[in-house]
Amino acid sequence: MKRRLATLLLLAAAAAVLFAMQRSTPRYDELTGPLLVSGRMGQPVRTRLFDANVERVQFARQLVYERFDRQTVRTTSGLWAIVTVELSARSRSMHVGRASWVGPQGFQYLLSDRLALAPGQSPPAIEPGLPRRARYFFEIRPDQVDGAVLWLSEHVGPRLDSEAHIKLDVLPRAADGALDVMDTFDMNAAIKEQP
Amino acid sequence: MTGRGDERSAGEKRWRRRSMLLLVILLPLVAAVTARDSIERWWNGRDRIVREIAAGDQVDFGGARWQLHALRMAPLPAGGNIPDNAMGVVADFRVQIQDADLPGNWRGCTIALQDGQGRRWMPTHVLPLPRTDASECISAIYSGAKAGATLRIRQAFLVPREAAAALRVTVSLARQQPHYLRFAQHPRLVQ
Amino acid sequence: MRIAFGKIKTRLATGIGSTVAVGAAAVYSVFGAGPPPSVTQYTAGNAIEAGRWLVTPQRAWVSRQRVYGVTLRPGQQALVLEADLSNRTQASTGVYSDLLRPATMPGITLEDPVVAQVRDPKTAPLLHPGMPERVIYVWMIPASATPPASFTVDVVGETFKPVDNLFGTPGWFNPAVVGQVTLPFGQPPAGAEQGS
Repeated sequence: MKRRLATLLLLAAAAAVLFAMQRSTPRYDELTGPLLVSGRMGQPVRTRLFDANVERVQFARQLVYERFDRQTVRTTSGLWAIVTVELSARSRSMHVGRASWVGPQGFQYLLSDRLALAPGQSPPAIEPGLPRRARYFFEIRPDQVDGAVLWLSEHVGPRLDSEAHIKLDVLPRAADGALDVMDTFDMNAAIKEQP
Repeated sequence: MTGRGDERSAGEKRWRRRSMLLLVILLPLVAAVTARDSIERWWNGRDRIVREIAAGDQVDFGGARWQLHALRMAPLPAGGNIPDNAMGVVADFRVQIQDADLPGNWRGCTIALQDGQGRRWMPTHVLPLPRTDASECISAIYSGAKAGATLRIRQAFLVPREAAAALRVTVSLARQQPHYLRFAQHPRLVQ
Repeated sequence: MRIAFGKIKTRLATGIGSTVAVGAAAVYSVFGAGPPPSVTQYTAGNAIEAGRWLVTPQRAWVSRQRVYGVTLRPGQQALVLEADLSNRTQASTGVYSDLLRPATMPGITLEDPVVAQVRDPKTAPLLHPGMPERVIYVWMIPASATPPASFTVDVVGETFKPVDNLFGTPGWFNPAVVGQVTLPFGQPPAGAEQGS
């Protein structure tokens, strides 16, 4: 009787362990997915191919740029988020192919595609030894500002390659602690002052 | 009955041990045989074996005779797409075609600059170079050149000023991998 | 040891599976042979949940000029449907060409629509999560064709599977019609058409 009970208990324990192992096995896309490198603003985040240092985050209600003497205004139903990052390649020339603003609940806001003709919006490759400053423009909902993370990688959806996850913790605040949102962000002026 | 049982179990134990040993040898062997093809392709698909070319020499590579005609560098002022501290390097090749099958022979043509620590610089398109009859390697593939013709291949690079003097040009073709060329000539400063 | 089942019980036990299968097939064919279920009808201003998108159709019109930046070739006219799209997925996406499928109209074959944003003159915009945006769907038809008085469009939605059967990755599958919108062809809003 005791032996039977002991065997039954052992079987139940084995079943529980197997069940836990099956439920906790990572899926295919996690096993072959990106290798995360975490960091914060103001410090260089080292991945396999590039170092990224997020310098500042700004917000604006609309963007303005001038090209061939024509001024274009871009409005949005949410906010424009402008992230300035200093990038340097480590071992070979490369492009940062994917940058996304990820909100606190995991919503991924990809780079805005409405600025294809704006100045500075198709940056050339980053060469080793020559760091370059890139400015990324995202359209986000106003409630996705606090606790956001910037994801940077060479390819979209890197497979077994680095992806930098940089916490955007230093946000521009007004004197009373509210978020400082500019009315208009002039893209030409921003390039002149900080190329 | 007990005696025979003991014998049988002793024989069983011996064979079980042997099987376990064989498993340790067989599993890696099976993995190696199954993966042999992919490993070979990976091993031979990289630039591993270098052919050093002295300055001024010509070399037969990928159905053509390559000669590094000039390797010049000049410091660039910062502005627009040019970052600070940049040196522009231009590599000029004279290539005499022997086998006209350029799309096959020159597939994956990569001309890069390499320094002593293994950093590589790929060609850039931000330098406003004067238009000549020289073309890039990839565009030359589709130029329809015939055997015996001499092509001019020109590639421009953006490198940091402190690393520019120690750079060397490498030429790599997909069909010739793992072999690749490295020209011993260093860039010459112009103006 | 007692014999587990008597002869009759054995026959029942072995036959139960096939009996259930035949019974189920009979029930399906009886219920499936009726008329197809009716599709929910919507009008302008109704918000329709269709998989990736929350669609709110606004109005429809027929255009012969450049409309919100979409140019027409000579000899073409356009059936335009203006709608608000809100992205219900987790990431910015541009997959909306199969969302609205016009019902077949006599004598008119439709190509894939061109989708443009009303805010900018931009075709195939990327739409971001939780940010509704007004877009137009433009179907080009030959100028000689006569469009009907009202525009009937099927709204096609897909369902989200967090783990799919092949790779175990999340995705949207099984497109199905979730509703039908009927809009009369009316007048374009001010500023929509900008003369070719």
